[in-house]
Amino acid sequence: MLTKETVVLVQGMTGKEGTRASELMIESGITLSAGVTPGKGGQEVHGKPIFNSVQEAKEHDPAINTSVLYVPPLFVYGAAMEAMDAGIELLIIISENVPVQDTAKLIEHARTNGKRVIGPASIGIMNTALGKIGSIGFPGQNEAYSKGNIGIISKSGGMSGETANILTQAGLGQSTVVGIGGDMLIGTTFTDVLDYFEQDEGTAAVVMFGEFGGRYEQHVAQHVHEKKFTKPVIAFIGGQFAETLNRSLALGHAGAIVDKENTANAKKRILQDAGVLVADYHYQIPELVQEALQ
Amino acid sequence: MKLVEYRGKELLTKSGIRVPAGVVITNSQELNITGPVMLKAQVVGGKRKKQGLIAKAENQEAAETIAKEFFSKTYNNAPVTSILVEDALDVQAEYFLSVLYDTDTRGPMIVFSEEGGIDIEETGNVTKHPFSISEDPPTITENKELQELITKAVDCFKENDCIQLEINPIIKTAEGLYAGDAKITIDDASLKRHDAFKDIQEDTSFLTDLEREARKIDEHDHRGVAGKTFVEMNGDLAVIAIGGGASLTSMDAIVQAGGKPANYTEFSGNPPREKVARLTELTLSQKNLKGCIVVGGKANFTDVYETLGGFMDVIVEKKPDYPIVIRRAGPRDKEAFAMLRERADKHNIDLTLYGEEMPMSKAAHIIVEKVSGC
Repeated sequence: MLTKETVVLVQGMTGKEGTRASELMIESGITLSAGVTPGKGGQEVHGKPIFNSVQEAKEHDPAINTSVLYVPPLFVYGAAMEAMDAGIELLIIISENVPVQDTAKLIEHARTNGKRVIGPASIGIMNTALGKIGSIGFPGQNEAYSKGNIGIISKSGGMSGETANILTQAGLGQSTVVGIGGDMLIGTTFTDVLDYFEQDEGTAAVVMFGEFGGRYEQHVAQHVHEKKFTKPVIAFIGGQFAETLNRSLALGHAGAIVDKENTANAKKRILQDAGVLVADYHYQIPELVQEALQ
Repeated sequence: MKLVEYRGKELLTKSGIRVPAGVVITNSQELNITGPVMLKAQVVGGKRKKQGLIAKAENQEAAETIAKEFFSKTYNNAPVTSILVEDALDVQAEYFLSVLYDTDTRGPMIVFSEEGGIDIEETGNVTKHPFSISEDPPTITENKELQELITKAVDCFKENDCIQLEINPIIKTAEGLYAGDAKITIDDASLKRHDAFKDIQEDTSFLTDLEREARKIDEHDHRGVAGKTFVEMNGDLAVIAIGGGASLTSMDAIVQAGGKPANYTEFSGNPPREKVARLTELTLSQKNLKGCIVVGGKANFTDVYETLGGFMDVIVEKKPDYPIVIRRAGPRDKEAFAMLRERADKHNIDLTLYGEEMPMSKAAHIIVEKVSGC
């Protein structure tokens, strides 16, 4: 995740979204070194140089170790491979609608080469002490967020903000917030982030926003059950209503596909059995966090 | 995009997998058969056999009777409009094959069984074989011909960006192996890079008219997403959610509080005013509505004034007499709320506005209370 040594490159910095988000990243205090857009090398955005390739950006600033991607979905695979091959350690893919096959290839490449990919369709990541990467909010930019010791992991970008919002209103600030994205395949799952939070001294409890479909939430239950994560976990799982639809549809996010097995209710039961505190209503999350911290 | 069987079989054929000889007919007069055939209604979805939409005919007369019967039937409330007529095979054995992505390994996986047929998924007598997306598929069976077919199916899966490719059954005959069926879903995110799918109209017969209209909103305007997913649910509370996670959270809260949503839908990104207006129009065209909620979190970039303005354009025109709750925050929200308040007062609309001080799921409770109170 984020450290004091994090130096960020923005792939797709000259695009509308990339430009807008970069300004807020710089303002949050993160070290943003440069941008990459093929064919636009030599330009500047917010006073940062733009290069044609990741390799050129790395030559300009060898300290760059992280890249955030704001590139069109069908170009994500190429851009992410380029970044990994140029030695980038952490990739945060904000782009949505990345083909599943491309994600599968990226996950495999990252696994084999010891890299970390967050996303696709991540809202970004932030650390209230260090700054933010991506389109996620930040204290001072968005009142939903405040400094504290609660970690948040969310499949939904919008709900990472809403979850922070109700925590902040209850006086519970956040340490690190990670948007893992709601695609079927994702580079970093709940349990990967829990491993980080287990070690992070600034985090006392973790809130997770999950959804029906797939098995990433079940892996959390296993993790907690096996005592790989020992701090309190408070979970909300969206999409119980979908069980009554009797249709095979993706609702809201590409990975939230109605199937018989991985329903919201099934996930809630499995998490509860493992000792996770499960909120039936989203607004109950702060009460459960307070209960867990007592 | 889910492909109907014959479209799926076209893809399999291109990848070198043999399928039974057949034709697609759209009325029973087109039938002209010389030997036993299988008639299969071309609809998207499972359980066709159990619903009597797959049958064998020994001769022309029997085939015509069956075809007429199929064309008079409906599947998911939509009429059957085409039938695949295939040579009936002399079946010696059946196998099951599915290629899909698995969230445990976060990669592709083959699911295989030596027993094919309609009940295989219930009996669950299958073996699972995760494999590397960048390498050749693993050896699953010692039967050389079957292994070859599996390899071709995996190639087809990768080449066409499938997210599911199921052949149930693979049919063994004296002449070799055939794909007896094809259930293929193409990854929507990949469609733009496949010219082969440009001319294929997705079979949307499983959608209601309203659901189909909602899908059209995004067709010629790629700014933001509105109505891509719309599900009619026959309740009395119209719901327009903003954002995927928010839509799930609020729908759950509505149902748990005893409310009956008329629909599920959402918009996200930064859609122009007109797209939100069109989605509102369609949502409010549902019968027997007793309330409406527009619910979203605090936007980072979405223009709250423009999007909610699009909603209000329809409200002041339709002047519904039921309560409306809006819960939303983000860029230009103060301006937006002042505009909404003013227009609601002018047209006597029962509108309640909440910002980020009101948790999303509590706002959902409030509209349910208002609806049950009227």
